[in-house]
Amino acid sequence: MKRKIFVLALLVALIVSAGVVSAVELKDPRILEIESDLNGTVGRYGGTMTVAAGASGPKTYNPHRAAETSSTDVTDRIFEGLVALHRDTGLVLPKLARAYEISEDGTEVTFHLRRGVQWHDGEEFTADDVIFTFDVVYDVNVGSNSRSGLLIDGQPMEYEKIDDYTVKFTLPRPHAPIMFSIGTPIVPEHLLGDAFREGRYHEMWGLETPVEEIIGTGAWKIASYRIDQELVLVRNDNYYEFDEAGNRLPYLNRVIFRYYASTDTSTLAFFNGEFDYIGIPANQYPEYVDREPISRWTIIEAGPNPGTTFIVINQNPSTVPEPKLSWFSDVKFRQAIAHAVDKETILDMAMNGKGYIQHSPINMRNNFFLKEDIKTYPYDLDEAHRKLEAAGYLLGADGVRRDPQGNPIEFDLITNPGVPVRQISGELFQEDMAALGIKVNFQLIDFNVVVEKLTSTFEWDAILIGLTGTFDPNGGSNTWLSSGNLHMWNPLQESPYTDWEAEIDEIWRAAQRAMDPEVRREYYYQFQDIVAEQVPLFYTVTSENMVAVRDHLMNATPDLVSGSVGSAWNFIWIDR
Amino acid sequence: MARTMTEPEKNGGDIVYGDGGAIRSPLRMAWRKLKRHKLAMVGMWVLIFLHLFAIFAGFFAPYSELTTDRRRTNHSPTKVHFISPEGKLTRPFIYGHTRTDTLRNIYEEDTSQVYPIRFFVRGDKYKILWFETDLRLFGVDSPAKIYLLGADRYGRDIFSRLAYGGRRSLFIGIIGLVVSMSIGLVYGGISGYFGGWVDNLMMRVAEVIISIPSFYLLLALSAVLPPSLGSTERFIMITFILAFIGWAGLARVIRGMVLSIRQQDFVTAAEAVGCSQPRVIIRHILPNTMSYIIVNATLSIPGFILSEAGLSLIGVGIQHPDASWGNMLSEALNLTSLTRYPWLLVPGFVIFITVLSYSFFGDGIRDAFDPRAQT
Amino acid sequence: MFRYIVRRFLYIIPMLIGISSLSFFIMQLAPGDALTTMSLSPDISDEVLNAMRARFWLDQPPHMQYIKWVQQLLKGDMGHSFLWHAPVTWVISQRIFNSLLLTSVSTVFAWIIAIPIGIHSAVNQYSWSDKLLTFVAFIGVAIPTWFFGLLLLYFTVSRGWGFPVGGMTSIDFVDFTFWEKVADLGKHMFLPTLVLTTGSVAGLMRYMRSNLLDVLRQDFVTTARAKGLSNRVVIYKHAVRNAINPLITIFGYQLGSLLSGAALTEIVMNWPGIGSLMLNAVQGKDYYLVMGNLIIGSVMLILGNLVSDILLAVSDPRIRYE
Repeated sequence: MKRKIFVLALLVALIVSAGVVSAVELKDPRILEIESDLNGTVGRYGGTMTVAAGASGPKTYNPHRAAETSSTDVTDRIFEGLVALHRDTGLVLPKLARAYEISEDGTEVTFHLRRGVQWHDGEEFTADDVIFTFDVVYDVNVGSNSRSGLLIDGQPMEYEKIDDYTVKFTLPRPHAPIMFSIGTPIVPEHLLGDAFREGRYHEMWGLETPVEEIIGTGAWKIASYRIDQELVLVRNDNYYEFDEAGNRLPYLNRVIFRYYASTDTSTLAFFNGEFDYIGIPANQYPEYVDREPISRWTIIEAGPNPGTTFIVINQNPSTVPEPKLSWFSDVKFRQAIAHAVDKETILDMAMNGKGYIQHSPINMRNNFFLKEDIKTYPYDLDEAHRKLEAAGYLLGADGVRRDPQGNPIEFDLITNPGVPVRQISGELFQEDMAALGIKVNFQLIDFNVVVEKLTSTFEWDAILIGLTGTFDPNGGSNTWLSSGNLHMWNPLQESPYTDWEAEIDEIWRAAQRAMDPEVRREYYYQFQDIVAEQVPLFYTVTSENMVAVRDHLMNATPDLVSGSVGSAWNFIWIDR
Repeated sequence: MARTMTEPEKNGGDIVYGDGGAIRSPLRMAWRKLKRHKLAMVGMWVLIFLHLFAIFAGFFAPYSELTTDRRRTNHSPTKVHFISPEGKLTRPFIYGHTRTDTLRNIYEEDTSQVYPIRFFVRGDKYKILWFETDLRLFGVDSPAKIYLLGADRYGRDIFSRLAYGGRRSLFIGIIGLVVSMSIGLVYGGISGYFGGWVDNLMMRVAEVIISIPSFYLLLALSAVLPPSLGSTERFIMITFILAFIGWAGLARVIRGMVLSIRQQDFVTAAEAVGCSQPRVIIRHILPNTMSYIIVNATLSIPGFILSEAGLSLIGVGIQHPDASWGNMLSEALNLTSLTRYPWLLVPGFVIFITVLSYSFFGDGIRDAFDPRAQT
Repeated sequence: MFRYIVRRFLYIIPMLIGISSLSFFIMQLAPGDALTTMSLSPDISDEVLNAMRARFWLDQPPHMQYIKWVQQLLKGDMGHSFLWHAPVTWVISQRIFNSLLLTSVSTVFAWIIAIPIGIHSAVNQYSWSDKLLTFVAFIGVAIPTWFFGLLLLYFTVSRGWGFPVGGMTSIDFVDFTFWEKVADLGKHMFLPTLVLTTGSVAGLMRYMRSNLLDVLRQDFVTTARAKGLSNRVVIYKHAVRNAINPLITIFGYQLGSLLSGAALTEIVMNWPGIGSLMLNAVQGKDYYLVMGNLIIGSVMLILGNLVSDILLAVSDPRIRYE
């Protein structure tokens, strides 16, 4: 019964080539080739779909103030960008733009807007809305999430309205990843323009706004929201997408988000038949797999979760005291203890074996950029011991390991509570390090305190934490550039502190300029080799994305880009 | 306290506790009464056993609290056999186990491997008082492991961790209780006895203290505490934190009771014969709140034990892998252990037994010291 | 008495100043602020963060923040929630009714159940029913309330009891008739109420039992019986009245915790109340939301205590406050 989905390297290779270099044109209005292109079936109208949607509902309806996924999960249904990623290939496809073209030198992008698209209130969507949206995004006082992704070397793009249906963007230099961030949600000028010009944009469309006033162009409109209970979306009857049989999409009448603060509760509610699909937490997998044969739903395994979990060791010369700094900045020390991370056991204990071991910072779903044959550090305490001895960190007769100056090696490791995989990784690491004669003091500390140490006081030895992954590698800029604020082991550097960091900076910038995806890939391969050699982070594991879907829900397949069902909403239908 | 509770003299409808006239030892009388109280005696013996179990954890536990076994994650309790495969009664033994299902963590007995349970064996080293030894009550030869109450996620023996955890949890409960209770009693006693503006001021201060969000104090503390802080320092700190958070509510109730008691004739009488105010409060008034205090004490103990687990989560409490009943239980309170690994919930059962024993024992103590009680 | 009550009302103002200022500074002691976690997001630059900090006065010293907050409060504005991008009054108003409904119903049930059981246990001390009730009560004390909730949900699902798992109302609630609404709400409330009631019955019952035992042993009870009053009259008219003193104080105290006392249960039972909201706000350092709730909670606590003080004086004429 199980269907497995793999990310196909070939398709991903298409992404960037088609997306960046040439022009793409689609029929207008847009036809979704559901059977041939999306591997689904043409559906029937009607019905309500209920989904479990995490702990908490949206905090705002304003897409440029939404900072958390609980809000963007909703605003992404109501607002759309000029372009969107193809759900299976990651290809940059036109959305509110009908077509786009990129100039030879890669510094000019021209968008031809779709004609006749209506805002939910009946007004027509035009180039003015696009110009307005980018004014909003670039205004630092608005604080849009999209802003930093749309800056190139800290510079905004220039953008101008050519006519009512054409907008041209001019980049300060060629920047291949721009197409992944340019699809920022377009907001209506006729409703928000005045507020923006009066400096009140950030007050607009908060939760206290009546839901009928939230106007977008997307396939869905908000019908009601009872905070942190449920949010009801109804179909936009004038949406511009059709299936190949000529039916106007979407098929469903309503989609209801239900919010559950505890995953135990949402799992039980799913078993109780209260909604149609649910993402399965890896640690609860056995509950689902044992019930699947006697239930009318199916588990779909959708490949690795895009996020990462790792241990990072602080190398910040201004806050780490000696002798710790000498150990932490010694690559031989890091390489040795990287062998002490027991990834197989973490996978077994935290995820019931449903997951993947990670070696590289690249999102595991993006096979195109992920380098397979990099240097790895398999769990091997003997090897760790040999490498430590060879580097001069000798194990004494008293069972305590000391550095060449005779200081016993001891450091702190902190993480936040509530994430089993972090707690398990930490406890196992602590025990393994003890076996190597190194004392690690592992402690759970409130998340805010951890983040404060990581991004503001910089006073810590080692932290176990994770990052969510973006599909394109360039999303990791502020981690990997030495000037980045999430360059955790030594952030916000004026100029690269070490040679290898300088090298990564250079590779990273070159990759941004490279318009040819094959060339970009070469750069990211080099980058992964350097990271594997220098091991500033010890990667651990990532879980399998799994979804349980009721059998009456048709076309509800997870996509390849993120492994979630959400991108299929516009063509999901109910077979009764 | 026993010394203060001498035979009361009857005086009108009210009771006067006098100091004179106690010829028979009140302690011995109370003990005699307590002995007749069956439930209280059961409670007492259970408590004695639990405390001995915790204090001599190293001896009773087959393994140290830190001994893990990564290939025996969530191991089910080991069955102890007395009948050999040939059907004869033998010394107790266990079978070796193999993990037959890695997804569901199912372990099956392998009847070809027989491991007799040995008594007074040499195991992991531990410290008892000032001696270091490795003598343990029982154990089995490796590679087998005996998990009387199953194992946790890291393959650590729940039985052993209960013993070691008891050292922390039982004493956090008692010490925390004594500290918070003494503050609450004295504070509430003074406030209620003097009344008027003293009462007004003291109660308003207590209300302010109840209202303050202690979570932020703890967060601030967790940010400055070094993770390398030793477990003894942590233990002392937790106990006092919990005690200082909990006293104000008790103080209010005591004060309400004292307001009423101080108007009774025996208090006036005690004052008339020239007892000092502190003496009146401590010797005459507070003993009359004893019933309430005993119930409050038995109800607060699980509170203390469980709050400690909450503190570990923000980095202030006992940190894993060191065991406490609270952090063992809070790890186990989820759907998966409920449906698959119910033995992880044993710490909750032990807390229940502890509380019940304290409660029965407390009932008995109250009756024993209450001269009017009929047993 | 009247003057006493007026005076107590006057104390509310200095107390609120004390509570709010102390709490405000304690919150500042803990590291980080509401925007700290945002700094982990790769999409938000420091520039944006600083602009937001300035907008919410987070870049100012704590005493200035406090003064600004008080100024706003005097104008009837509780400030802005960082997490919800909305006025604090609005955020609280969305949930306060839900919480009050659940906690007050469970409190009423708890008292209705606990007091008679406590009396029964005391009157029939050491009978089998007393022992059984004690035993059951302590199960209630030793199991964390919210875990009991999870247990109930689990049995609901595996045994098919037909209760909804979590939530407060059905999706089509707004279209229901009045009686359908009542029925729907009742169905959703049953399990959470059961959980909260069980959690607090045990304590109340034990307090009632032990205090009544004390009173029953006093001489006036013997005297009353000797005078030929029936056992019923002695117990209910005289003894219980004298035994209820500590429970009255507890009652006042409980009024103050009606708002936030049930956070974990609300999370497990998916009840959209203010307890779970506050838990998030506290963890997310959403200062003004925490302060708003604190002020409401403190007022309730102070009033609850006042009510209990008045009740104390009513139930026991010997108590005088002047």
